[in-house]
Parts: sequence; structure tokens; C-alpha cells
Amino acid sequence: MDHVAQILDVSLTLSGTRVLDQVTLSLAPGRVHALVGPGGSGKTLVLKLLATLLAPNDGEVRLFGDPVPHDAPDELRAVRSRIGVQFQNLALFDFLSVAENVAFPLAQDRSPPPPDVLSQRVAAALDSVRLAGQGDQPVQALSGGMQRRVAVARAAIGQPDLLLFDDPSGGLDPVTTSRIFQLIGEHQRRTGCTVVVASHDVDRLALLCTDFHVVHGGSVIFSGSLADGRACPDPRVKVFLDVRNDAT
Amino acid sequence: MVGIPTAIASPLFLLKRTVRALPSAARARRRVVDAMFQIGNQSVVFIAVTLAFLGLILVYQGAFQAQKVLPDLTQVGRFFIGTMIRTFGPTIVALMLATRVGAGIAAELGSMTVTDQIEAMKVTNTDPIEYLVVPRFLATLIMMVVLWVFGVLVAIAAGTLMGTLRFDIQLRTFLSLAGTAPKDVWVGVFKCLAFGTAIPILAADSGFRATGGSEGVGWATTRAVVNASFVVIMLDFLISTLAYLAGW
Amino acid sequence: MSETMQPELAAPGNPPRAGFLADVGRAILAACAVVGGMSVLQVRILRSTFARGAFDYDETVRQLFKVGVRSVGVVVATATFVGALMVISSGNFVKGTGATSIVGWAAGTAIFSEVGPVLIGLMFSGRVGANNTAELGTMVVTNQVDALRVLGIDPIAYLVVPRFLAMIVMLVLLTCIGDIFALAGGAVACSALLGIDMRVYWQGVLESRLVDEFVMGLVKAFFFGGGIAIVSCHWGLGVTGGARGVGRAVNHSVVTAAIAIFVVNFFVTVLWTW
Repeated sequence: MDHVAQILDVSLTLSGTRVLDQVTLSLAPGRVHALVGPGGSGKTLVLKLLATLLAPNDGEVRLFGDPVPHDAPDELRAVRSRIGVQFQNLALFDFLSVAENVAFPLAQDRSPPPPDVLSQRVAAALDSVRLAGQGDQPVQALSGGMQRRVAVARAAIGQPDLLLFDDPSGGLDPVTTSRIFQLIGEHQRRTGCTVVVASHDVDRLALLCTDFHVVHGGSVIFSGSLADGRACPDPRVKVFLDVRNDAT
Repeated sequence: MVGIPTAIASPLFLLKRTVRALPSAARARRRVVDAMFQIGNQSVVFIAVTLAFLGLILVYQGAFQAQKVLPDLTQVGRFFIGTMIRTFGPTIVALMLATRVGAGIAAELGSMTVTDQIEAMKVTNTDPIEYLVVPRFLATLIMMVVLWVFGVLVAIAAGTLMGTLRFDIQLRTFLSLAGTAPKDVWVGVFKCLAFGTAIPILAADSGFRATGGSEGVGWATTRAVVNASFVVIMLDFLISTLAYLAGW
Repeated sequence: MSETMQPELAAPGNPPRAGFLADVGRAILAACAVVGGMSVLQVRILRSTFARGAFDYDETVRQLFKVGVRSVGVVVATATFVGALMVISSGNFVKGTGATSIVGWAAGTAIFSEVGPVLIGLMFSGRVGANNTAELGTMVVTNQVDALRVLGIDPIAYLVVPRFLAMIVMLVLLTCIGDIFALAGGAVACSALLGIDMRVYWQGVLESRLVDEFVMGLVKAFFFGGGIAIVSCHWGLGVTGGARGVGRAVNHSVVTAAIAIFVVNFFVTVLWTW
């Protein structure tokens, strides 16, 4: 298996508007991929394609070597159990506690682990995002940064092979942002899974990611290392990845 | 589904999927009971107040109008009780349930939809219909019948007070089931089942179709109340017509 | 960072059970807070309208148009079915007694004095009142109301009074229209299902001289319109907590309006016929 996930020539039209236009993207396994681009360029949609939440009008999405089986519920189940997602607005279940949120992906499995194993794993997951002992709180009682860490823990608890993060630093202060990125990096090194991070925080992505993919106007216009991107003749790529140089 | 407007096709489709997912309720009895408790808790005072005033006004108007035609008030009680069971009880309780519970379901599911909680469920292999709709559907269906009985009893109690205290009708004359045939009870039960099916489905459908932030949730909640109330009236008309034509 | 959670009536989930009496006390306090808040709003509306004459004329016209257009379809459709429903419900009685001439009188009285205003009021509350709460609530959570205040514009005069006036005027008009459609629905049901000549039905309606009932229905509509406006503005302007908060406020708004409709309906009838 050369690629964990491949998007091949995918186009997507939502309520009459073409939002993705012939996107092609390949994700090599065991690496941390950055999905960068200006707001509204389609980063979230690409992530939702990878999360099997959107089916393309045209083209093909292949996950773990096979096309996404949108018409076969059982196979789709198997694929989804290998994916973890942290949504842009976190999508924490507001009727559940912190621990119940983190436990959700495991507890909803067809054959859930026994309660003591489950609570152990939840405790470990909360510990790994430095939220030990906060499990009984309602999620709304937490601060924005803590909620984000809960979302990271929930996405990662099932030990997925493909972990997707949509704007993990949105609305956070720089210190908290570094911490979140650090947690993502730690988890990736521990498990060796493939990670995709959508963000426009190129500075911080540079510390975490090995592969960069630039999304612009509904298409992926560049894939490669950060250095290659900064040397890329396409001004749209260069300008976006070079933000730091402009600032200093 | 070409040519059928979404407003009609979408709830019917949801109804089909909910019915198909009904067996899953066996594994989720706790959630059904919780939802029943919540519905009862939410609406018991509301239904008591509205149905009490309905009972008061029906007896007041009934006796007032009857006095004009002939000074015999012995028929008022039996008429009142008969129409409460067959006509006003199911309709008004259902309208109140659409207002309290239907709007509640739409608000809840709508805010879950716009914050991606529904998608988060899908990726963790949890069917939102099984997890969210089925318990609410069953609970509303059962509680509709329960609250109908409760509401009719409250209305009769209030109506009896009005009849005996204001119009000096003898208690034993007033509380007479002579105007109620078993078929009236059956028509009432049947209406309750139809309304209890329509309300949660229309509300959930409206919630799931919410888009775009708090305004979308507000819209979804409004739509749930209006659609559910209107469908209740329409079903009421339909069932009453059929019952009449069948000689019931 | 963390928002303070509002203690809420009948909140979902499992609040700590503090016993039945505490629950009752909390419910009564919450009800008092709602009634009190709405009374204050009512006073401010009246002061703004009459004492100072301060309300936005253009916004009022816009609201009149919006409220009317939004609700006329659903009101007409509901009223038609309700009229037919009333006639069918009397079907068994008419069939049993042969008193065909009574149908017009019964349907007319019921529609004009009780069923018409109440059901049209409920639908109006669901359509216009709920929508109003959602709209104002969204304005609150997106700080638009604060922005008005910063600009020195009084939200009561600019937002609430126009809605208050528009809802009263429109509900009275819609009740007139709805009554007519309900009678027509009854007429169709009468001839199509009960097999009674429509002329007998209309004759019954006209000969019963129901002017008094009709006027009482409009008086009810007047109070329902004002009540729905106050209730929906109260909940809309009091929204806290994002999308979930708006949904919840809409729910509370329609529930409070329904209670208000049934209570006001009762007292208007009793006082009218005293």
C-alpha cells in the first residue's frame, strides 16, 4: 500500500455551486500532512471527503487501498473505524460529559470493550491530553482550549490509522496552540498513524508537518515539502507558504 | 423522488428509515425511558394548564349556548366528555406536544446538526437515526397516548368544576359517559398514534435540515412547530372523515 | 473562558434532585420571572408607543408586510381544515337527530367565538411568533442589538414596537380571513360528506346573527396578537448561549404563547358574556 488515502480527480457540487474542482491528493502513510490554503478554499471539504462524510460527484476517493464503499454499510463501518476526526467546531456532544465524549467512539462499537477496560482507556486518553481528572465535567464547563483537547482525545482514542484535524488552533492563543500541536505530534510518533492537519498557521505547521498540500479555489495546486513550496514558481503557493518571511 | 417537494419527501424518507431502525430500540431501552421521562417532565404542567382552560371554556360555552336554545343542561356533561375524548383531547394535546416536544426535538437536533455533532456520530459509526431519532420517536408516540389520557382527565376535572359550580349541574348528571361510545375512545387512540408518529418525525427532519448557525436552528425550530401543527390538523381531518364515513 | 450556565426549567439531563418542594419553588420563581419580565416589556412598549410616539415607522410597515405574507398561507390552510373538521365532528350527532339546520349555527358559533381565534392564534404563534424569537435571538447572539444600543438606537422603539403593532393588526386581519375560510371549509364538508345542501348551511350561519361572536373573536385576536408579540420579543431578547440558546428560546416562546392564548381566551369569553 503506497498511499493511505488518495483523492483522484474529484469534483464536488453542493447546491449548484462547484466547490471542489478536480482535486487530486495522495497521502503517504506514517507522515504528518499539512493542508493549507486561504479561508473558503475547500480545506474542510477535502477533510470531509477523507472522513467519508461526503461522496464526490466525479472522481474517486480511495482509503486504505480501496474506493470508499458508500453503498456497503458494513464495509463503510470497517473503514470508518480506522478514521478519527476532530471537527472545525469540535462537535463535542453537549449532552455528554467529558469522559463520555471521549469514550463515545469505543462505546458505540458493535462489540464495545468491557467497562473497566473502557474507563482505563478513557483515563489514559485524557491523561495524554493533560486532562486527567476532568472526566466528570460537562463539556460546556471547559475553556475553549480544554474543549479542543477533549476533541483531540476523542478523535485519537480508537487508535485510528488516519487522523484528521480541522483547524486545531482556531480561536486559540499561541501558547495553547503550541500545546495542541505538540499533543498531535506526540500521538503520531507514538502510534505511527497518518495525520492530516488543515490550518493556515504555516509557522506552526512547519514544526509538525513533513508534507504540505496547498488548496486554492477548490483545487490542490501544490504537494511537496515546505522548502519546495517556498521555491515554487506558482505565486499563489509561494505567497501563502512564505507568510513568515513576509512578516519578519 | 423527482417532483415531490423536499418538505414532503424528506420526512417520509426519515419515517421509513426510523421504522427500519426500530429493532435497535431493544438495545437502547434506557434512552427510550429517559426520553419519555424528559417529555413527560417538560410538558405535564404545560398540558395541565392549557387543557384545564380548554375544559373550562368548552363547558362554559356549551352550557351558555345550550341555555339559549333550551333550558336543559343535562346533556352538556356527556357531550363535553364525548368530544373531549374523540375530538378536542387528541387535537389539542397533539398541538401542545408539537409546540413543546416537537420544537424541543428540532432545537436539539438542529443545534447538533449545525455544530457537526451529527457528522461526528457518523464517523464514529453511530447511526444518528438509531441513536437520536428512534428513542425520541418511540417516547413521543407512547407519551402522546399517556398525555392524551392525562389531558382529557384534567379537562374533564376543570369542566366539571365549571359545570357544577357555575351552572349548577348535578355532579352525577355531568359526569356521564352516556355520550361516549367505545368507538369514540378508539378514534381517539388512533388519532393519538397518528399524531404521535407525525410530530417527532417532522421535528427531527426539520432539525436535521438546519443549516448555518443560530439562525438556522431558530428556523428549524419554527418550521417544526408549524409543520407539525399543520399536519396534526390535516391528519385529524383525514381520520375524522374516514371514521365518519365508516360509520364510527 | 467558561460561560456560566443558566439554571433552566425542566432542563434535560440529570440536575441534582433537591426534592419535590424545591422543584415546585423553582418552577414558580421561574414563572414569576417570565411574567415579570414580560410585564416590564409591555410597559416599555406602551410608553414608547403612546407617551413618546417613538417607534420606527418604516420598520413597522416592513413588519406588517412580512408578518402578513409569512402567515397568510398557513392560516388559511389551517382554518379551512378546521372548519371542515368542526362540521364532520358534528356529523354523528346530526345524523342521529336529523337536525340538519343546526349545523350552520353550530359551526358558525364555534368558529367565530372559540375555535377560529384560538387555532389561528396558535398557528400564528408558531409561524410568526417563533420566527420573531429566532430573528431577535440571532440578533442578540451576534451582538447586533448591542450595536444598535451603541449607535444610540433604542431596541424597544426600533425592533419591538413595530413587531408589536404589526402582529396585532395582522392577527386581527388574519382572523377575519381565517373565519371566512373556515366557514367555507365547513360548507364544503357539509355538502360533500354530510350530504346537507350548502344553502341550508349558509342559511343557518346567516340567520344565527353571529355578529356578537364575530366581534368577540376579533377582540380575542387583538389580545392574542399583542400577547404573542410580547412573549416572542421577551424570549428573543433574552437569548444566551449560541445556536442551542436560540432553539431553546423559540421553544419557550411558543409554549408561553400557547398558555397565554388559552388563558386569555377563557377570560375574554367570560367577561364578554358576563
